[in-house]
Amino acid sequence: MLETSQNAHTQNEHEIINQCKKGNKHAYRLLIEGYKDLIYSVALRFTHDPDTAEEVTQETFIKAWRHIKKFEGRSKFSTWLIAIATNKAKDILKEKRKILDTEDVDTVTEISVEESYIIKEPEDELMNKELGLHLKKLIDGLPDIYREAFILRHVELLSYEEISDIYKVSVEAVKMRVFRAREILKKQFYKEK
Amino acid sequence: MDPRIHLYIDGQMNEQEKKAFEKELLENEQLHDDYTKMLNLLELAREQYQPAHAPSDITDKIIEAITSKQRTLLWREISVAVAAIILLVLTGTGIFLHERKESNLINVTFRVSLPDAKKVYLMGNFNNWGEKKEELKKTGNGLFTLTIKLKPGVYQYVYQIDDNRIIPDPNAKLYTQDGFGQKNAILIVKGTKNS
Repeated sequence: MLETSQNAHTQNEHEIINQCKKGNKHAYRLLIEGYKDLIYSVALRFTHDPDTAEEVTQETFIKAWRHIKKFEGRSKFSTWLIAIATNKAKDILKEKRKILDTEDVDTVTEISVEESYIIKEPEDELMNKELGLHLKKLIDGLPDIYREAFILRHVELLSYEEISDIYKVSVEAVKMRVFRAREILKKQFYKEK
Repeated sequence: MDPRIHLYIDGQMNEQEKKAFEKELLENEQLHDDYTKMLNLLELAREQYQPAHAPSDITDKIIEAITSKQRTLLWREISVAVAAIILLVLTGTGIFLHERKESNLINVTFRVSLPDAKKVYLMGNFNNWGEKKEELKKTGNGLFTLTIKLKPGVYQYVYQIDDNRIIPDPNAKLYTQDGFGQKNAILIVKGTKNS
């Protein structure tokens, strides 16, 4: 039943996208309405700033519109949009601040976390909310390539294949990033040696 | 941490591996502890990121920007064009076959060898990315060719093959990122001084 519903959704979306390719802005409005929260959420996760996230969301949909004829349907439309959004977020962040170049994984091993956030026995010392904030701080402190892969996998619940489509890297490379992010977080969160 | 924890969490074990791992989870305290910690951590992480809602007027803003051909995008195209022209001046190379000028238009011939293709279409920002269907003519030996008229300027384009695959021109000397991890070929059409 779910599968049928999913197929119907996909079929419908395919028709809407075809209309967009013909220049139908009313059809595009439907796509924006369907995906704006997803893209805004992803943008917010990556930029941590509502204004920047809004800018990324707008730029993403504008760019997607201009290039929609190039969307071939080999990946899901949402994956395609997220790929644009992540690129946009990076571009905009680069303009706004100098960021650590995390392309070379091997050079990035140190995680910047304030000493005050390191805790010994979290369950005893902080309430759940504080623990959550602490964890979020640790996630934010991850190198970009780990943080992004982790968020897409565990917050947006994308598959490894979808993330691989977004970053144009192998599935194995994505797994490595997610595994590494998990291990760093576990080690820091539980203050393991 | 035992790497099998990752595989188990991701559901990437076969039945046999899964059973063996679950059995060991019951017997191995360290493994059980690591697994539980990781599960708790992932659950807590997910709770920190509640779905966010885009501003309510964002759809109107986007549609308005699309309709008015937002200035930012225009500047981006201009910057690509300027970069390409500078590169052209520096290298002193022309990359396309430009023929006789007719008023303001230049004949530009596209040629590409694609032996396995049945049909090849030209898509570029000069034809609104294929809105006006322009098919290259097959001339034998897998060679496709098409001559169109363009004003002097800098353009981006790709080829669409058999209604599904899209590639940048393999013969182009300049490319630019299209923002989706793919490339567009850059075409520079120079004006002629005489004729």
